[in-house]
Amino acid sequence: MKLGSGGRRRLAVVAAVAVLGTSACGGAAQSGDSSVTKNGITTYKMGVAMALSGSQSALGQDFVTFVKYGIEDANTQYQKDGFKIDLVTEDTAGTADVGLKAFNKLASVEQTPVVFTAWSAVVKAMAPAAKDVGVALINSGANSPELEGAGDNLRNFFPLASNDVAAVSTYMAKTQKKKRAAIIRVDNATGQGAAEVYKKSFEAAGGKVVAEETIRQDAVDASAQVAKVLAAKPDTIHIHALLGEAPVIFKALKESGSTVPITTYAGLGEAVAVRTAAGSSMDGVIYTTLANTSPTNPKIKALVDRFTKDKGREPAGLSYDVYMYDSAFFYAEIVKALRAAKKPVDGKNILDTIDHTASFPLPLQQSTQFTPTGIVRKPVILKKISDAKANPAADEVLTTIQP
Amino acid sequence: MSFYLSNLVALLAIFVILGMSFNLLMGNAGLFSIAHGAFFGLGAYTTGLLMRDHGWGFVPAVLASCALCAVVSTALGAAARRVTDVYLVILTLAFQVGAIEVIRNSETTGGAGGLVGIPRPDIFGAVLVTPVQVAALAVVLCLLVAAVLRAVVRSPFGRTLAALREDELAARSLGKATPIAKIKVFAVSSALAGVAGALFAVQVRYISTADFGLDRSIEILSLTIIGGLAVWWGPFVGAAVVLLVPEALTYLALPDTLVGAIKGFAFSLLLLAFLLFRPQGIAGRRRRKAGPPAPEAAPVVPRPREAADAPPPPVEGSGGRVLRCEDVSIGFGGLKAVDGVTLTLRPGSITGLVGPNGAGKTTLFNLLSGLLEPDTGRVYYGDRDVTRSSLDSRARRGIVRSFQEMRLFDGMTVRQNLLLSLTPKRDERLLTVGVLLGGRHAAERARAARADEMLSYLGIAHQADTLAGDLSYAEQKLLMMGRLLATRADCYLLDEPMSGLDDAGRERILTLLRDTVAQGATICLVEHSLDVIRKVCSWVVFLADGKLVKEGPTDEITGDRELAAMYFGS
Amino acid sequence: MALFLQLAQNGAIIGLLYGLFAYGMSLIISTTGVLHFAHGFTLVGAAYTFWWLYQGHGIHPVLAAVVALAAAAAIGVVIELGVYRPLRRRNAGGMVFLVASLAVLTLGQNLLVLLFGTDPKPTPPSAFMSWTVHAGPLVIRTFDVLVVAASLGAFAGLYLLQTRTAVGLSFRAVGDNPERAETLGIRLQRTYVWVFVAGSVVAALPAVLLAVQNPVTPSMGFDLLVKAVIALVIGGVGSMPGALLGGVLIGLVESLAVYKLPTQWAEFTLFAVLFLFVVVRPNGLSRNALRSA
Repeated sequence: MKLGSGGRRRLAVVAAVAVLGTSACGGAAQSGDSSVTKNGITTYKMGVAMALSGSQSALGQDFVTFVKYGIEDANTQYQKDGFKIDLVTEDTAGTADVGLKAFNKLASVEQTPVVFTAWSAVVKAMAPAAKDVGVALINSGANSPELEGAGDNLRNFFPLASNDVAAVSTYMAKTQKKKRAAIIRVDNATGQGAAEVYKKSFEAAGGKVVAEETIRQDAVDASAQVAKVLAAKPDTIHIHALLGEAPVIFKALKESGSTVPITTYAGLGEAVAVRTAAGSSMDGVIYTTLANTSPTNPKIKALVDRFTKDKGREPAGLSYDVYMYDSAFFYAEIVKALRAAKKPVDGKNILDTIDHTASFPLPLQQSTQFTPTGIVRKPVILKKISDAKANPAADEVLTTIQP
Repeated sequence: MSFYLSNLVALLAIFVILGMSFNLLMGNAGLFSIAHGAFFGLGAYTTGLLMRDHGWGFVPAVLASCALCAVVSTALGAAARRVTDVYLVILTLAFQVGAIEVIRNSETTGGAGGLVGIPRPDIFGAVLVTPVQVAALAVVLCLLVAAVLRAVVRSPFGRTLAALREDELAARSLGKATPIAKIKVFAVSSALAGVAGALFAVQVRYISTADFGLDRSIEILSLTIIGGLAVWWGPFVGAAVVLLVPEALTYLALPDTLVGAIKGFAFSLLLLAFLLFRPQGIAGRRRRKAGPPAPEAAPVVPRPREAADAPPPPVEGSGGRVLRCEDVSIGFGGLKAVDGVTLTLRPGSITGLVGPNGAGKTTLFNLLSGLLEPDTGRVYYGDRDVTRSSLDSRARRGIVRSFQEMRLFDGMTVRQNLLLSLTPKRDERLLTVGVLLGGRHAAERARAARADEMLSYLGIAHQADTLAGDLSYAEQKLLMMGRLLATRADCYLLDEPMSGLDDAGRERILTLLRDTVAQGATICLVEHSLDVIRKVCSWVVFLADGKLVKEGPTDEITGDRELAAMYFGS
Repeated sequence: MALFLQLAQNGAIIGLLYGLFAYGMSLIISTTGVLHFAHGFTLVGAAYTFWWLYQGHGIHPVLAAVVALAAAAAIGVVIELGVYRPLRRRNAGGMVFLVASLAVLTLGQNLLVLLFGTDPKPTPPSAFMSWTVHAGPLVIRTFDVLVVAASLGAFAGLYLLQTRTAVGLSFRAVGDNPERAETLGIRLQRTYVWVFVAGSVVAALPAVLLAVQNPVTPSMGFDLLVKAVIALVIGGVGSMPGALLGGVLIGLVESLAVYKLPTQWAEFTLFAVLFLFVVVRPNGLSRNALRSA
């Protein structure tokens, strides 16, 4: 034990802690409006916290790119209104603890009045802090059903699983007359939430969930899950996993010789990496998508072309990217309304505007409306993969389910 | 800014607690665990659930988290008591993953979705509303933990932990109940991780199993190493590096897509660089390189005996207890190392144990001292059957031994080596006054005085504050003898105490032995030099092939030509 | 019954894969005493090499696999020379090696992120890999056949290497007693390099198998790494048959546990078994428990 010396150094540590502590106590209270006006144009900060590192960053990086596109286009559109939006990003790594640090930095250092984020665990971690600091927290990509009403300052701009997963499960039970469903889900908040929704609505529609099996994130084998699920003799299987483990599930189902119809969601159905790795085993899979990403829409086509030109590849989750692009316009609309009402753009006023505006016009989704519990409900488009190797935009549209 | 800074300060305080508690385990006690993240999580979930679902206040919830972590870790420690090295890593790994899986698969904890809606902390009902207040709470608790740990490390218990880290077997041979000490330190460390967890739960107010996984354990390990092992304020530095460097990186104008990877890359590179180039961490001091033992280089100069250097009376009422064994045998893979030996060691005399190489002398010592249990036969000390009692419990009863290699606590000072022997078990309890007063109470002062007395008796008083590993070979031998004598045992089993010494060194040790035995102690020594045997032993036992061939007065045995032939292998 | 058989088959296959990855670690720990966690990086590095050549540059998969073997060997040697050798020279403790090994693992993974990004790199399934045959309730895939062949083949190869070749015999001599081996004229440092070559080459086999089955990601090796360590412990650290046996055993435990339990408890069951195993039999299956001192 070398504790003998170092009295002065110890003192230094204690002093450093004390200084940090005092500066923390002495800091000014949270200011609301952090806008800056220059040459008659007022700039408003938009905080965006996404997974830019870690296993989820492939999606997160694309999300930020689309928010950027959105802001650029929104700034052109709203220039005549005398303001522009400035993007401030932070990395959440898709995890609660890094996410919370990212939020604190955005809210407190950058003083953004609003933070847009995604991933269920991250949103949950930020919700109490958002209330503490009076910042509006907007979920623009997570879909765990628990996020409905998860915090006073949280609004869900992205539809939750209670929207799309419920729709596909009801569709399979009612329209496709399936009676016995099985679920294979990833063992995390996303999978858990989706499975609960699926089960509830499938059983409400008269069917029964006969098996629910979990798979670990990035698992290398799904044979056990598939064998167990098939042993329960289901007539439809819903898969709610993430990028890493999804291909082995589809492959194992195909290899087992099963012909039971499979459903999933856009996060897998549209993911190019999953489709490439799973190959023909994903043919025939039905998936939900919450945005019309058809290339016949010229705005979508222009965006995808722009992305492909910038990055040299297809975007990772196009239906999410639609919400990311639109989120910039959503924020711009709020700013515009507050400026018209001569109110400062702070967390409280942003939330009030969301709660008291009937409908927000948006370029890609046309418009969005919030329910009293702070969520949105969207038409769910069911698509069927005819050829997994082809571009997701070419998938066959089965039906559109209105909320 | 205040919101941001106070959150950062609170997290920093939480990580300092984690680092400090882990440093106690790994730095001070030399025990390795990768379950610290799980105890952190256990504390967080306990506090979160008690406060959210059962309306507990923060203070009782913290205490409950602490207690639960202590109980669970004691059970884990007890299960792991015979496990060493790689297996301890695996066992803690299994616990880490298993515990987190249980939390994750359980309904009450919110499963994989995590625990939402944890209330704000309160101090006996007064709710802390602002992040600044929560940060203050975290800092106060952190400083409290730091103060307690400082006292623990400086207490006699802390000294035992250091000995455990340096050389567990040697610590046991001096009567230190190391298995118990290990469990205790594990419990304290885990309980403090529970405190950190409780703070974390009320600070972030949303927890999920992802916060407490294997990577968290590894992060804690890294911050402890970067800060410096066994350095009290190392975790302050380590936590600052681990937490603030990545935070600072987010201020640099790096491309978004690279920040995360650069963070991870820089962090692991930093850790690796520390391991390769500065193993003592940022805060640690570079230890002087212990030179190779140099028997001839620095012979001890026997200092003229002064009045004050009279041998301290080591033996108190030895009561003439006799160490004896009856018909003991032990075999290793079919080979009988000791075969039916019956032997009695007489108090007040020095017995020499001789025999050719491989005769089983050291094995017999191992049986007598409790390092090994015989396959058959019994060992008695006085009237008591000690066959089944362990090395350390025999040492506490008064039978101590030395090893062929010296097994000093090289990283501790000469004085600390002695103090360790001078401290009885009852003063090493975790919750004695020694802890609260940082070891500066009367008994400790008396021990320090006695240690200095011993040192001048041994003639190495001028080296009191030198690390034992930095002494010359002869001085190390003296210290080793001193360390044994300081236990005030009645019975000494010495395995070649004079090997490698020059004449002056031998004389010095011989004097010590004669002084000791004159006071009624029992000494048995293994020795190759018949010259030494003739000088000090009054009784000689001759072993060959694990059997006792003959015993008798020194002259009779050393003069026996048949035995001499056997001894010299002709 | 059909389900039980299917689960047993899955368990055996995945167990052989665990074993295949554990061989290298077993060889390395038995000779050098290092619990080589960075073996996980060797795996990922080889998998990226394979993917980069096969998918990125259209090289024939067999040739790409051969280059991946070489890449694995190179990674192993670099770690030995750059990290373990300096630590050994400094006489660092086992704990330091362990932490250094973990640091190399994360360092390597982050390096791959910097080079390739975090997005999963898929390999489209080829006709060869999509072949299946149904035998009663069981389905046998190309992947299964390849895993069995690679695992048993590597086992046999390493067994021959260790018993029939001079270099292999030197591994054992050094593992038993480095000082004595040195007096017998074995060059320690050279032996260490060779053992890292041999151990790392074997890690490229599961890497290639995984790369054709799953998308390649920088974090792909971690799960396999943990399982391989468990296989080593259960089989007895440093024993090759132990690694094989341990791998298959944990594959079966993990797979058969879900016969009655929900799948999410498989992981817990495995670690609970491991925990009890270490407590009850701390020296593994294949060695007699040493007398505890």
